[in-house]
Amino acid sequence: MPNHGSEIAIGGVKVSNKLLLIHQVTPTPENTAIPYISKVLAAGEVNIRIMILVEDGLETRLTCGVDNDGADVAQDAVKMLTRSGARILMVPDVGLISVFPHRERVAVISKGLKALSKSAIRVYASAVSLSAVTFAVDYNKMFEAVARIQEAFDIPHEHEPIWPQSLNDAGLDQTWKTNARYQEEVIKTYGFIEKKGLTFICIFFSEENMAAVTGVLAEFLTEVKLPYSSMQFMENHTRSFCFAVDGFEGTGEEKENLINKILKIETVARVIKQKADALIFHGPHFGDRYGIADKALGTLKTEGIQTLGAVFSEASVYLMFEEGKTSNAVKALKNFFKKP
Amino acid sequence: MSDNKLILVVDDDPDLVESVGMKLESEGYKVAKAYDGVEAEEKIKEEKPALIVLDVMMPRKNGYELCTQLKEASETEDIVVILLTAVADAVSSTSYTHMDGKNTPADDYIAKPIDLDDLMAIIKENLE
Repeated sequence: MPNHGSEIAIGGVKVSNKLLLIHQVTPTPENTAIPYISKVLAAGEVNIRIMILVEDGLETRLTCGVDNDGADVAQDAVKMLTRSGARILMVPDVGLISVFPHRERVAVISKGLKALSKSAIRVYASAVSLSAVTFAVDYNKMFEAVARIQEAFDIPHEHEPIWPQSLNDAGLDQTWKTNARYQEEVIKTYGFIEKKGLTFICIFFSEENMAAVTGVLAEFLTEVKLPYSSMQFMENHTRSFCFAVDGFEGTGEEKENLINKILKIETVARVIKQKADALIFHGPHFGDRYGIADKALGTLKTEGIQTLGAVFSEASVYLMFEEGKTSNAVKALKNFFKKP
Repeated sequence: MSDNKLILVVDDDPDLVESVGMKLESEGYKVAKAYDGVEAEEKIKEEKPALIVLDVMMPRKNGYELCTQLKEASETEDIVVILLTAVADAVSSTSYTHMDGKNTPADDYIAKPIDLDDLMAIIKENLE
């Protein structure tokens, strides 16, 4: 039952269809594999419901979720990548549960993770969009996941979680969802947002410490906004959580002290930190159509612009770059993504 | 001037609701949000918005149905309804047609992908 007494109010919850989740790791100098998988999926008209990419200098980690009806195409791509030496993990029957709006609050992510972990619901990945924070969980636990999220947050009484129609009632063949299967040379967007002067941090910890670590982050970051965050599952039951810190009202020294506190969380195994800028854009049906990730990542690759991180979730695209690189990225991307 | 009028934004795409809501708030409007047609009905009863930005393809109750229902009821017929539709833009595999939109008694419509400035202009024009 929804918890109307929670201190964190949200607008609602949305659930995806069943997905195949693919996690691919390649040494960073060989990251040409990343555009390869997005290219194969785009050519096969397979939509990527969620994609998280982090390049941390040592290795490139890609997590992507594709609809089950595109699983064959994805598995063919994976076979090719395995032959080329990429490490691949695949998790079938995963679903996405999106909580919105998060308004860049780490508390929403933390509370969501805590609620899910309490019921032993494994969270394989998470990513933000303009409005939502999305968690990837086992689909056979989805009803429970929705119930736990409803308990954890204050949700308007009239809101009904948005389920894919196939699970909504007995009418299995009804579809209301948009099956946008069009592909233009120039893709329409609502415009580009650049956020500069961010600190990009990746922390690594074991799965069992996930709720605790994000809880500590939520404590430290009450006054700070996280315009970008993503979490990925890794081998050996570890997770990486990457985020960009922004909006801290204080001196540079205070900000540095806060970040140092985060970096000293005991349960964190490894940390990567650097200055970064973010580029954010979104567009109509980006979450329901194939080819968006391929066009964005392929364009950047062609132009030789390296990303630190990328998230494709719901209708949003988040790209993280080394400080000072967003202008080149905008220039390149504007050839294919255009504001009407 | 917005005169703090309340606008209800209805779409099952939370990212779109958020971006339209942020723009409306920056223009001085009050904003209510709903994510399907049934939730919108409840919000309309509770909050009595001056204008609704209403998506077409949504779960539980689609925008065409809700719009027709609002315009047929005396207590809601004066609420301005602006349909927000992607139907004009090459979405091929859908059961909706653009003709449905033309036959729906909305006050105005704007095709996705919307230009937020264009949407603001349409809203202002319809609220005058």
